[in-house]
Amino acid sequence: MNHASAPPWLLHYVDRLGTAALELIDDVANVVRLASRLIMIGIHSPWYRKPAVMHVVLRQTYFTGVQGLPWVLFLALSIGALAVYNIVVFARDLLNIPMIGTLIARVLVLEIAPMTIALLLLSRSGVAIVTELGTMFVRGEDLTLKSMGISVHEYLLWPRLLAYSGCGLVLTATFVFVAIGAGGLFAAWSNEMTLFDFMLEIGRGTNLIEIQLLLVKGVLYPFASILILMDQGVRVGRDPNLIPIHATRAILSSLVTILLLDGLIALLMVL
Amino acid sequence: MHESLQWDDLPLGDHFVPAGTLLAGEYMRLVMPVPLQQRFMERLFCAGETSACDWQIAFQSDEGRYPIGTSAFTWRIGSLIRDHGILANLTLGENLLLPFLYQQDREKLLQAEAARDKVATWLGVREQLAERAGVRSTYMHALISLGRCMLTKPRVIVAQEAHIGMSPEHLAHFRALSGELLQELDCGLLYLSDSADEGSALTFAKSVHISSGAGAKA
Repeated sequence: MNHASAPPWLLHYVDRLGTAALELIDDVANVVRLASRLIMIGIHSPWYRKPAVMHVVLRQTYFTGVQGLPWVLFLALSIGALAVYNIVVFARDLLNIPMIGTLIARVLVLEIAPMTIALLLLSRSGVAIVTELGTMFVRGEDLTLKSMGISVHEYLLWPRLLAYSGCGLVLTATFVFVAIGAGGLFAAWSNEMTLFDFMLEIGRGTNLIEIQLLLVKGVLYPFASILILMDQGVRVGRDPNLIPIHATRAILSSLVTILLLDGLIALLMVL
Repeated sequence: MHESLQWDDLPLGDHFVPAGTLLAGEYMRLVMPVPLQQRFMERLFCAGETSACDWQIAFQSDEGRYPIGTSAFTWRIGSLIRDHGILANLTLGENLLLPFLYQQDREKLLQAEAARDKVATWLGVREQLAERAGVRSTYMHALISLGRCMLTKPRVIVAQEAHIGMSPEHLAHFRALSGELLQELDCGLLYLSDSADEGSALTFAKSVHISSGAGAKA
């Protein structure tokens, strides 16, 4: 089939598909470039000796980690503990107590915890980061910084990457510990099983690979999210009308990326 | 000591900034439209859409040559950019000290901290140093830029028309402070203006009109 015989509507959709594919490739390339540049800064630059940079690191850590902690505890005590309790009841009904540890490791530790924290960070801090960066660029604060010899990447972006990824890991681990602890206490309180037996099953059902995977997911999801968020925030440029557009795009792209990464890891585990 | 800011030809869209040299202690004016001034500043500090540092401009002194994009260059070139003196999420005090907070030189930082209150008093903003900057007037942006120049002591100041939009009282105060600053630092001034009648009352060694198309006339 050549162009002359193809119906116009088909050409139109092929054209749109091609454009979307090229935009996607460009977006991915931008994020990869940004990631490599920031990692090089993290490794080679003495950022930790610069009070201005450390100030941003601490502020972002406070905003993302400390202020986000009550939400993590709330979710761990509600979603996490409930999941643990239901797993205990389910395993007892099946008269398969050893299943408790395995299910908690596979469902709560490997799936619910990293995904919940990634989504929480995205909805709570993610939107704020895109709009804050976008507003700074609209106001031309990048020029203000550069006129003082300050690297935008080192001063604005690296601290956010560090704080967001670090807090993601710590909050994911917190979620797991609180959910398992609260779920175990709840199960013991409702006479489903003793806390000692529960902890024994958790120990039996969890292996080192699952703990490593939890750590990888706990860092990887926030790391991928923050790169996309910052890339979109920086791209706002001088046009304030682009802030909501890039904020929406950043959140949706991050969400899709997290789901894709989760699927990819699951696939790798099967293989 | 021989010190100068030297630059090569700079095309800005359909305009053209000719190559030039500005000696420390000398005042020079580039007359160009306001949007072009903004682009000039972005090229000077490698910011904006391209973020490219491909313009041949450097600060030359007996100690060495410091090209665009280096820390040594920006440390020697002060700036007064209209509405670009403040970061909104810092306090005014932090804004004054920001170049020092970004450096690793603790001694310089301590000296700047010691001098900050004096500079803030000179500017008339001492009571406001602990306030979060947020959105501020053109006047406050200009004051903080002046204060920063007083602390960093650059050898050349590149000034965009930072005063446009100020009230007459603020303008008079700003002009007085600018004059004191230039006298104190004895530095060069590259002044970007959209009119030769900008009313700064400064004596320029050279005034270059940046025009579109073929080039510029001195």
